[in-house]
Amino acid sequence: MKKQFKIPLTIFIVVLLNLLFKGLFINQHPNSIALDEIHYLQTINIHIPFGNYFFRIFNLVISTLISLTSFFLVYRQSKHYLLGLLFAIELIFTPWVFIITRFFNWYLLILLLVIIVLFIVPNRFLRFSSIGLLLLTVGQALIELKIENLQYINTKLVQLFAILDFNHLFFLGDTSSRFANIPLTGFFMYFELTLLIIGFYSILTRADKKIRSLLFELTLIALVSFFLQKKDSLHIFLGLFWFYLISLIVAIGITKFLEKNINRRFLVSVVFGFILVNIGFYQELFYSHFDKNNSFEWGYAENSAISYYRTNRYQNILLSEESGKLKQYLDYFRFTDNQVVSAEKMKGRCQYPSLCIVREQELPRLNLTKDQVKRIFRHFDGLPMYFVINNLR
Amino acid sequence: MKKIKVDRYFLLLIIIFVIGTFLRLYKLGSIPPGPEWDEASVGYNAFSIAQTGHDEWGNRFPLIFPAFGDYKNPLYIYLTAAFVRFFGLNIVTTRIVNGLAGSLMILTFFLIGKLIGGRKIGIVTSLFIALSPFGLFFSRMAGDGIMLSCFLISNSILAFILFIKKRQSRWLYFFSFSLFLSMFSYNLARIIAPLICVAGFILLIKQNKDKLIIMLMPMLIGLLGLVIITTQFKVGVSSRLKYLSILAQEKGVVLEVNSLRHQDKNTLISKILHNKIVLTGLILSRNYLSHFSTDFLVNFKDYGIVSESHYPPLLLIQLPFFYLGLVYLVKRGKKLGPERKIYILLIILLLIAPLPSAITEGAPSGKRSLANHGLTELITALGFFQSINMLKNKAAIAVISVIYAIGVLSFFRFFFIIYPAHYGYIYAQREAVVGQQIQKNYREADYFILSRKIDGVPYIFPLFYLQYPPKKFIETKRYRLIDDWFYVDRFDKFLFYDEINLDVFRQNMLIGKKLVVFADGEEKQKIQNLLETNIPISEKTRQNLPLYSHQKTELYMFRFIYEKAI
Repeated sequence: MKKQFKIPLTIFIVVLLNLLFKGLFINQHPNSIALDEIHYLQTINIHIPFGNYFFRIFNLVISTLISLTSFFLVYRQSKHYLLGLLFAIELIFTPWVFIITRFFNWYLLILLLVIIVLFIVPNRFLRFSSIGLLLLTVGQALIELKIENLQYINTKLVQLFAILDFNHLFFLGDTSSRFANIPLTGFFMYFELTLLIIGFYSILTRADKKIRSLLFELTLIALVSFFLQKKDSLHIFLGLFWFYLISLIVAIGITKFLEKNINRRFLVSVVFGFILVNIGFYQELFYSHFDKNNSFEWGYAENSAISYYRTNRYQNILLSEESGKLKQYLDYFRFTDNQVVSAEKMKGRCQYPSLCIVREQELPRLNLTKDQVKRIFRHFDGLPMYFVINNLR
Repeated sequence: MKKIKVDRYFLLLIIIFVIGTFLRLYKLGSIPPGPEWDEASVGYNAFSIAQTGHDEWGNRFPLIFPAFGDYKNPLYIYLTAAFVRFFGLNIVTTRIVNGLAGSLMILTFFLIGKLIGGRKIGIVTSLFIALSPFGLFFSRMAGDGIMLSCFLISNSILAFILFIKKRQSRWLYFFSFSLFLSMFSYNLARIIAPLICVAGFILLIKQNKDKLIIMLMPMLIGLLGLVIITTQFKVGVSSRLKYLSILAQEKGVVLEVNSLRHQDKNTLISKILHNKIVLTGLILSRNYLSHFSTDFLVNFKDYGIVSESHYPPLLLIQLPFFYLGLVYLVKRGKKLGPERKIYILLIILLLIAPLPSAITEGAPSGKRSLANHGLTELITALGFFQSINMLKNKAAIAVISVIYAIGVLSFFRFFFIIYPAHYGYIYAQREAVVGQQIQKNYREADYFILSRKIDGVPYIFPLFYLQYPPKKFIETKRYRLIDDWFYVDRFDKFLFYDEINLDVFRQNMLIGKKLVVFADGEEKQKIQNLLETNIPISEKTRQNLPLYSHQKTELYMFRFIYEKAI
């Protein structure tokens, strides 16, 4: 293929695959908004209307740019077109990128900025200075400079090795929150383990100097970024740069595998068949089970309650003291006619157009049983969360 | 005068061996505290064999020991019997076989390291083994012949290497015989040893077709072991697997499958994607891989479980060397020549070692994956030398050595100070107090009453601490067999109950007798109430302070004459 067509065609393919794969049903899956997302949106003072999740397109664009800039970065460093392309494709299909693209956060933006710095700043000292500065500046919101003692470093190291463990990488994923955890799926797909081993082996035995140098820089960035983040951050954020680094090693593994076995068509077809099955497997788990299994974290009951409130045109809402999570949702979506009162004080006030919501543990205080409530908002798995009470005297 | 030239590597090895042996045998009876119930059982069965040639159930020189119903392997017990015969029954004689096996492994792996990479590699490997956390932990426990089986497997590897290098058929016999013995020392070897045996012969058969008859003999030894084990399978391994195997724990898998299918409304695709085979396969793969993972290698601490390590197998600084060593091992395994087979066998051992742990619940387990103890250290040493060759920087080597020394010292602090002080409760410290009180009161008391709330198998502690004559135990014991588990209800002066309640004191045989009752915190209250209200007693000893207390586990003892039935 002529060189002048090769790069535009690559850009086209990478962008298209990104949009198709990561952007599929982005407005419907996950089918609600998570409290963590609300917190991120509030931090940057963005308000969205209820029921509209198109703000996630922001992440899709950033994620696509990450894939694209990574192609250019690796292609320029290694002069190896296939490696660059496979790395860009790896950053489309691998689960950690997929899941972090599907909810709003600014971590992907930081990753993109770091890749851009790595790409455009030629001098290593300048590169590190700007990346360090970037991490520290952005870090006012996410970084806690709290390296107090050796115990802290030890705790962080234990955490690092737990996150980079094969179990977490390939089978468990983000165990710090189900909010970013696809069932039975790790940060990477199962088949990527073999490619990681091949990639790791070939880096140690015969990778070219520039790629080794890039990997070294990424390792330092990953270490700094990991140690500067709070230890209770989500694992997917803590390990963001590590996952990026591992993805590059996986891409090297695929490249080496393809180069060595290009004539063994049957083997290559079997491997790619397996890859497709693996992608299908985790995609099925995402679209059919992710938001059902994790509906608590994704605020499914809260979204249902707000939807009911809006559809039935209630004018104000009385929330019990135990319904704090729902209040955060109402405040964010600017349904400001809400008031928190103790369950006992709801007596005599729960008539249309007022909607009264309590939690299960508060029902006995009102001499009510579950059968006597007007409506129950449940999570996807059937767990009752909020109870609408009516005509309470 | 002729100057005697001392080989400095030999001197270093002697120093490392002495340090390693000292670390394994120093305070062997008290770190960890004990004996816990498996150790007591091993010790008492060894005592019984040494005294009578029969085990505690009266079987003459058995090839598998029924013990509590968990069927213990014989080799460790027979070797222990020799020490018990000469030095008496105590915790040290019960543990010493594993202690010595762990020490001898330092020498075995020095030789393996030396043969594959030179004396420097041999020395560093032996140093890593001598100071290895897993090495120390498992050399000081006698619940089973864990370290003994590792020692025998490592001997078989050494013999294989020597056969490749020297072409003498005796090493082939040694290879098979070590594997044969290992199968009778710990259950993990029953999976590992046959696989190593088969792999070894497949690797050798191509270049030794002329020596087929010589090769067949050792193969037969291996086969004999397999035949014996197969006959024991019904009673021994299967009873363990029944409780431990992942396949036996299918309840969780079924629930998960059902939940996923329910969410999918039981479609055909769901049935294809979510079924027991797929999910069990995933769990098995996860378990298996976890043994090569960072979390296991440097974070693993199995607190609260007896016979497990409370420290990870590698120190933090060793981790990169381990992974680098793996690459080196694979690289060498790809080279041509007869020595290639050595590397292939090492890789095979490395790959199959986690299998016994991967197929059982609670993986990763240090104990069940211990077959690669020694090999892990060898690989780390190989990686260490690779790094030295790459770095060629003395300052960097010095820094690495200092960090390693700090890691070792920190481990020693944990192992010799924190661990015995904080984790004694899981090594039957409470039962040890019971044992000591039984020794003290044995002559005066008419009956000792113990409940299984204090310990699941309380009968073994009086046997161990009193060195109770095995023949007398066989004659006087009464027991029940429930779900392949032996429940001893009484022997001699000892009565055992699931819990101590009023029914216990309704027995006429207790009237007028001097009783010693042991109770936990919950039972103590019941007994105190009985003593104060229901039981007419002429003498009673109230123990308001526990004899032993740790967190919520307590031990109380009551001594009184029981005059009239309630």
